[in-house]
Amino acid sequence: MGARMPHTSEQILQQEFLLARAKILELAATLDRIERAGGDVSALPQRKLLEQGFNLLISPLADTGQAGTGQAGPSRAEQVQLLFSREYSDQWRQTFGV
Amino acid sequence: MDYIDPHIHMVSRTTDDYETLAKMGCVAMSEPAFWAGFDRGSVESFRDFFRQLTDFEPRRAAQYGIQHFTWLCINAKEAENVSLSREVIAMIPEFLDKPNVLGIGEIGLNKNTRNEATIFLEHVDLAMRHNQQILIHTPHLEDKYQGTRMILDMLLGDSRIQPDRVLVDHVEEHTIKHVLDKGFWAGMTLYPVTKCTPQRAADMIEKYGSERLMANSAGDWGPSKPTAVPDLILELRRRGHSEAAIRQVVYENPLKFFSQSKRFNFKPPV
Repeated sequence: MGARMPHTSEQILQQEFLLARAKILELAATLDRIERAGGDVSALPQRKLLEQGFNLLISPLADTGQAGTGQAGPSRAEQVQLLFSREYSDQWRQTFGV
Repeated sequence: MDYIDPHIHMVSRTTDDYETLAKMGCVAMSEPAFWAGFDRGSVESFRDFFRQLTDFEPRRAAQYGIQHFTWLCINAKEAENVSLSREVIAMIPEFLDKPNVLGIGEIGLNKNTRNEATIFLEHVDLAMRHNQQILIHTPHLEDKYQGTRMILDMLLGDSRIQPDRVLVDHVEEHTIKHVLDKGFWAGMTLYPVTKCTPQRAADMIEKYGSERLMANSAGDWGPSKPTAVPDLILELRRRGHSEAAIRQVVYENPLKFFSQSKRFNFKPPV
């Protein structure tokens, strides 16, 4: 795809603002729902993963090595994907014996 | 815009869906063999399934001017039954000369187990012995990254494999670069919750370019949307991409990949 991003960052922000706002509200309401139900989930791995995911969203991209270029390092989406992934070992074939 | 859906499970869709897809511009599709939602009990169940894929579905699609192609295998979820898997693999060559068969697929991993890896390697060997293209299923959610890396290890460990004859499907943000960098084709599956939205697929096209990249709907019996590829077309138009650039992803690329199969006898609409 030649010109890979025809729109400017400001145009994209204007287009996506209400959708992003709605998604943040959904997350906030989900956390409220969990707390409203009572009990303590703070030690559960899923709760910790969600918190780590939220932190990834607000971390500056410069911290990831990407520095706004969109090229150098993993994007936020890629980092979130890896956070929720099982680890890979290049020794797996020896472990499995296949 | 005319488009080709390179991965859609029409056995789980109604005839109304064929009509809708035709109205949306779908002119051809390829349907990999997959899990039925339950584990099948015998090789005869698979023989009937392959008859459905090679006989019934092409005729159903043709009623709406859609050309139907298919891929054969026993899926990864049933690979834990190693003896049944081997019976099915031994039976597959009965169907390899059917006119709409493009190759072996969708083979891959599900929970990344030893048995799944064993049966995957035996499928790859079958494909290589019969000079077939391969369509790969990668696992979902937390298993995807590990499983995709394992699959790439196995493919790259077989010197007979030509990467440009292999399509690795269900790529997402954390796996797409691994697949493309090794010379394989990559497919983005547009599917709620476990795979990729049209918006994220458009992001990946913008980031990685459109070479060796396709998009599909899966369109199976789960919460999926058979018209997801037109949703991607709309998203790319909304972002200002040219018709030619969009057409490369949803039409030219599938055409180029499938044309490597001698049985891809595609007739473009006139």
